[in-house]
Amino acid sequence: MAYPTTIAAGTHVAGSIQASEDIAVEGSVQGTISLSEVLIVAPGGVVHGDIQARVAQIDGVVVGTIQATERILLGPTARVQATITSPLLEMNDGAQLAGELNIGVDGEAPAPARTTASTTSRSSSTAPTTSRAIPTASSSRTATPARTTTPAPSAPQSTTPASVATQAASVTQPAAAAVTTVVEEEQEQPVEVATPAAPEESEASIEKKEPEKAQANAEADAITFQELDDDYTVKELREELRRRDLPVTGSKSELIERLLEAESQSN
Amino acid sequence: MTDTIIGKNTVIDGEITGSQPVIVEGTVKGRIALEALVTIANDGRVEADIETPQVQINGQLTGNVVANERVEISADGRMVGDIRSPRILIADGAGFKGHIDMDVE
Repeated sequence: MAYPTTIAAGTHVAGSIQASEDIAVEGSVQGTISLSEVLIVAPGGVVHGDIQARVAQIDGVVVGTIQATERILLGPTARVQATITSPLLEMNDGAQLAGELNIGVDGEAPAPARTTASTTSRSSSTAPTTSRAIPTASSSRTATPARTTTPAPSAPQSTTPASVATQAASVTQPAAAAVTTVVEEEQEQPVEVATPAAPEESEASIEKKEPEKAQANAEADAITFQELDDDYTVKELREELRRRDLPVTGSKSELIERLLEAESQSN
Repeated sequence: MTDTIIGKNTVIDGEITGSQPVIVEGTVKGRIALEALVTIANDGRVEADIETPQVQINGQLTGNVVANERVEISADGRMVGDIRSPRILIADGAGFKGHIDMDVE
């Protein structure tokens, strides 16, 4: 009962199906299916005809055409003889397909794929983790460098610095593990080396941002033709001119010239 | 094995056949011929001829019914059409317009 509409195994539908909710086909359908939501052709499900859906997940048999406005997924048990039109197609190992593919040609722009989204968010979230974790290690940097990949608490030399190091290592380790996929090179290096680099890096990035801001201020003071051309649309330029009671007609370059002239006069 | 469910935002125009029970919460036009129970749910609308052993009508049905076991129209059910079945139940409050043939000899 996971789906509002289910054509169960042992049921055959001949004709057209229209819906604004998810449909699961476990039985067989002959005809057209058009829906604004998700169509699932389950393993054992058979569709002969034309399919239109937002998302089509095919794990059964389809003969005809499949059109999706978002994406089509062909599962490992999919057996498809169809003309496929979709902005995005995902095909699993084992899927069998014969037919014509129109991927990303006629369809609408797809929503960003879930996989890429999670990857970028992961990398961006791990970046701060490194800079946070490494200073922790630097605080106990006087102790033995936390070079050991596995901190062995049962190690014979249980001197105080070692235990501190172990502690530090255990602190850094989960963070390092989380980073593994993103920055393998950094992780392989001893933490001691990475430590001084990290704060510098973060400082550098701050410094980089600050000049950018300063630059932006400078830009605001001395406007050049090129910047106006790049940063402003014709509409924005016209608004600017209107505010100064200047004529708003002419090409973009004329507008910019006029604006610069007014600017230099006011200064 | 799950029943076939025609959800309330689904419209089927054509023919439904098979061996599994069907529950209609949405709209079906055409013909339903099964070897199992057809249930028309409260909000279900069927404009079709039905040939099944059993029919349960809680929604609206326009069409003829041939059931070799039983037809039941509940208090919320509304039906326009002819029924041919050996056992027919029409609840108090149900609406019905049409002929009934119970094969009385």
